[in-house]
Amino acid sequence: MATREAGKKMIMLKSPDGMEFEVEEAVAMESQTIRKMIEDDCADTAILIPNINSKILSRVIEYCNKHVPTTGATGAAASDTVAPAALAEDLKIWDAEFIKVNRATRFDLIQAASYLNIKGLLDLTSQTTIDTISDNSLEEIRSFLSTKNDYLPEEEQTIRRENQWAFQ
Amino acid sequence: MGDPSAVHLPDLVLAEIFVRLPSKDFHRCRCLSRAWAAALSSDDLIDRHLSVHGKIRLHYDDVMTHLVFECSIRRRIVTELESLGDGETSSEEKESSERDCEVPEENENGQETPKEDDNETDDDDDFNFEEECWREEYRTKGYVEAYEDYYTAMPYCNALWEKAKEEILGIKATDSNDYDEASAMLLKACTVPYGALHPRIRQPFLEEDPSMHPLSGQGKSKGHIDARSIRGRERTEEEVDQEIIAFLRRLRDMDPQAPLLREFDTYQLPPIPPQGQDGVVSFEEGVVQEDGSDYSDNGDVCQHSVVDDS
Repeated sequence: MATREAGKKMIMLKSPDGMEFEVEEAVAMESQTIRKMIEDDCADTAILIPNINSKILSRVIEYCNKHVPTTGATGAAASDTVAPAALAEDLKIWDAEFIKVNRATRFDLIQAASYLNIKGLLDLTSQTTIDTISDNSLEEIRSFLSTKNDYLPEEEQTIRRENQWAFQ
Repeated sequence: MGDPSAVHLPDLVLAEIFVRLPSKDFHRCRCLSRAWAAALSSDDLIDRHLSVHGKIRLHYDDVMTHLVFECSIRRRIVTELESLGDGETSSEEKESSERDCEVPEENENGQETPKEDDNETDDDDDFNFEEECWREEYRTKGYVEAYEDYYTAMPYCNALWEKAKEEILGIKATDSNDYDEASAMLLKACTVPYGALHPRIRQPFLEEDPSMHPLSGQGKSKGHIDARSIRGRERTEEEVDQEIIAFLRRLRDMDPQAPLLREFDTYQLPPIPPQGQDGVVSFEEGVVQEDGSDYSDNGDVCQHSVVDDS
């Protein structure tokens, strides 16, 4: 802990549109994908994150900054004074604020979280969609996901019968 | 959702969403389209879906082994331990009664009390209930899900398993700790044809005759084998055998391709000839009886059986 300030390792992340983000190693490690890269010593130069534009990437980093394990981020002294429960409550409020974005951004975030393999962010961002699917009928889900129903009527009968229990 | 336009998401992202769905919706979404039905039935997505919910999938062999184990062997061992009730086995007894969420304090001596009796009947309901649930789940979903710690969080299971191996198969714990091999042997031991069921195999499926039950105060009834009851009904020994075989066959029917069960169909001769030659009756229903006409020209199911009616 004493040498934390001096020896803090920084990781350079690069978005395809040319922006570079310098983040602490611990923050970058929130992403399992990047963690693996670091562990395999592939992170000496900047890591190019394909498919994720700078706007989304900055939001992802914002999330990781907030969710990096508290002992590492705030130090021993700070974590003594703040109760863990209150901290978790804070984080929840922050999360709720964080996903107040439009749908396109949310799906971009899901995509980014999926690629970077950040479980917490994935859970958070996909929750709204999950609720939508849970609440709606098949027909509505189809139109929501723009999926075509390519079953023949009798085939649909069959598969519905096979999964009958899920419709009850 | 203010935006009326439909979503266009890569399938990978959609998969991430789908694996987080509750079980019901996960299966419901199979009806969306052919592509999704295939994806949501794939091993990969099912496993990921379960792991998100902290579950694992029990494959057929495990289900089978569990059913044979839970429904027969465990019942027997629990009963046996209860009737023994000495200090030597108290730890196992404690474990099994803990599992049943009853009488947790009663770890010494296992006194034969009416409470224990209640416990046993509850056990039976549990067995039947669980068996039904699992079969239903397997039928509807194609797999049975269990909590991640299914294999690790059950020390009682291991203790009983060791005991079962020892008693039923005659394997000492040190001989082989290979679970698969042992369960295959156990199954093999259980699928001896009709008329040749070893008493040790048959025993676990039997309930004590209530009037002769040691808990009701009468003398020990170990030798009483003329008529037994299965699930409360009186049976002759022959009927008992049929019941057991039907049970095993029901298990097999859940998935005829299960590797562990392939032998079930082909296994025709008992390892030890039973007392009477005429007692050997093939237990396959759809068996073709004519000698030497194995390749009959009607394209029907032709199961080869060894029936010696010489």
